[in-house]
Amino acid sequence: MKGIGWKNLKRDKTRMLVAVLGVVFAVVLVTTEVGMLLGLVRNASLLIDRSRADIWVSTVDVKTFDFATPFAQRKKYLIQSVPGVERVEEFNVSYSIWKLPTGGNANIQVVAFDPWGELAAPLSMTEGSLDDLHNQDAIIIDDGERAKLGNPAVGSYVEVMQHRAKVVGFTHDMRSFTTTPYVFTTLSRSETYGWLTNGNSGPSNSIYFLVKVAPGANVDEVRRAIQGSVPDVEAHSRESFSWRTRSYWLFETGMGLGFLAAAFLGLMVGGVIVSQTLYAMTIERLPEFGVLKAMGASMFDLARIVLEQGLICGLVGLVLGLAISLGIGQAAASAGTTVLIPQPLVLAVAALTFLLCSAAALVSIVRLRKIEPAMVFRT
Amino acid sequence: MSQAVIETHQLGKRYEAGAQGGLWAVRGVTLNVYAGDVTVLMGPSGSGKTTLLSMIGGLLDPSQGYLSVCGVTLDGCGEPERQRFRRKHIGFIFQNYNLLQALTARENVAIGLRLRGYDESEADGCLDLVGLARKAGAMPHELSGGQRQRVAIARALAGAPPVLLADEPTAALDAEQGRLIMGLLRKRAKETGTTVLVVTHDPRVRDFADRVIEMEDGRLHRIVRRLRRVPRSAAAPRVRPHRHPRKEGRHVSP
Ligand SMILES: Nc1ncnc2c1ncn2[C@@H]1O[C@H](COP(=O)(O)OP(=O)(O)OP(=O)(O)O)[C@@H](O)[C@H]1O
Ligand SMILES: [Mg+2]
Repeated sequence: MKGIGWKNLKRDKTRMLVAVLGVVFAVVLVTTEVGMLLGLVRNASLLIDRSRADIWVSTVDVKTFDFATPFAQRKKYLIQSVPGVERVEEFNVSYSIWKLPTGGNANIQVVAFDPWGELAAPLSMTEGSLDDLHNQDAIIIDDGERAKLGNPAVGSYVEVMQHRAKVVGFTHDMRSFTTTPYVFTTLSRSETYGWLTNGNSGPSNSIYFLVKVAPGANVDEVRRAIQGSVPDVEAHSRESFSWRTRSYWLFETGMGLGFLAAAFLGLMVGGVIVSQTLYAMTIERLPEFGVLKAMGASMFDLARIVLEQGLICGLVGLVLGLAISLGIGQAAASAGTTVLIPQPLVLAVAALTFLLCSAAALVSIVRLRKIEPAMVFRT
Repeated sequence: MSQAVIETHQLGKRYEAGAQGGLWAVRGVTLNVYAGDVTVLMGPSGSGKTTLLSMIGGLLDPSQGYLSVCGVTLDGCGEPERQRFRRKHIGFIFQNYNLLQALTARENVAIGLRLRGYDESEADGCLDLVGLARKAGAMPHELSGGQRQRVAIARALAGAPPVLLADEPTAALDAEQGRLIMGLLRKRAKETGTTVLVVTHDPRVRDFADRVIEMEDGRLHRIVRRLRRVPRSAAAPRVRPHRHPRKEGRHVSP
């Protein structure tokens, strides 16, 4: 019975369009919701994942990259003296305030690191260069965050935490999870532009120390040695700190669930549209199915017709939906939101579409099972 | 006389559903139909004609009695067996043609061939048998009623099933198209020995019958053997056939 499903669809283009739109709806929702989630999650741990440090040292019980608390800078020397530690670099992340041209303020995250260092995530620059950070009051921001910060250009003077700052360059696609723009600067300016005191203004503070272990040293052993010999710090491997950050946003905030629920809802709504449309087509052609059954067609033959209809709508909808999702991804990128559509996501969405359309066809197939062959003389 | 293609003995069908809580739509039907015969089944509405035809076609399970078609015993066999039986032995023709609307004439016929395991390329030959080779690529909605019914006949006889069953095949057609259709069925019966059973209300269909069976209230009321020549040109019978009705038997059932 090959080909009948396709011919039925060709003859009923309106219904085919509706079913295809149902698939498109589901595909676009699932792809963009999950893609956005993947983008957010990637951004959440971007500066950890791209760092070249084996170990991140923070205060105890830091929940996520963005919410670390300061501790005494002098602990650097204790860390440095732990056997197996080859190199230690300070890395500070703190919230701050950016004065907008409108007179209002924008929240920012000041990321201060050693531009001569080896362990922090390298900045992917689109304008200006890392070397320009050595200039006075120099800061670098992401090109995707310009709009949020009053559209400064390279060379613009701005005010951060009531101090003058000069934009010397732009990174690309290095944005925070929290949507608070990153402002990259040197360590020497972390206390000028950031907020590193833990209440009482005492000696200098730091947020993180990035550690590189000596060649041949075991990362986990060094990590435990740091925790054992430096009081009140926690040492994480890069991977575990990355995972802690991601899982905080995904699970503890319930955000992951929110995105997945939206994707699931899209799948359900799309599925109902497809199955209802296929069902309506089946009911309309029930006498034809009855004739086929009377002529001795098997249940398999009949199921195949409906399945063919479902899978064709699925395939067309999948291709259109993915194309639309990629377009949305592009548009989102230029609007400053990362939507990641990696190949495994495409494959997963394709598999999901296949399942969705088969399940939608199943509703009709169950109905076809109930056809009495004797009905052919009663219509 | 040769072995009967359709054999029934005290055949009955009871519908359980219904306001009166059950109804014998067919009862006590004993009947033999032979190869190459055109048998016409007549009778008032509700007399059980379609029900009898459905049982013979393996569409409906009998409630009582013996039923054998083409050597297959059909009483008490399951739907999978009946499905195979229909596929192999029966061609169906309906009042409303029941062509697949999304398929061309050729593709509709090809389904019949495919189901019976024949090559689809024979479809054009089948359409030629009903004089529609030119319309092979037409969609059903592009054909007249008579042409649609001829496509349906081509589909039914594709793969040469030994039995053709038709329920009111001419009811939706004008007199001339009706004669054309019946002529085709009769020609098929005589040329290939196909057994043809036609249910109808149309008295003109009698002219093409070897035998007319009248039903009433689920029972065989009268069997009339027609002893006459059927017009050669089925499309336009000029001579009114000479009638010699003879009672073959009055069947009284329990
Ligand atoms: N599926 C069914 N369930 C219950 N009763 C039925 C069913 N099908 C038919 N009947 C009843 O069985 C009887 C015979 O019906 P059948 O359709 O065989 O008659 P028929 O001779 O073909 O009539 P018509 O000339 O109007 O087509 C009728 O009384 C009908 O109401
Ligand atoms: Mg009837």
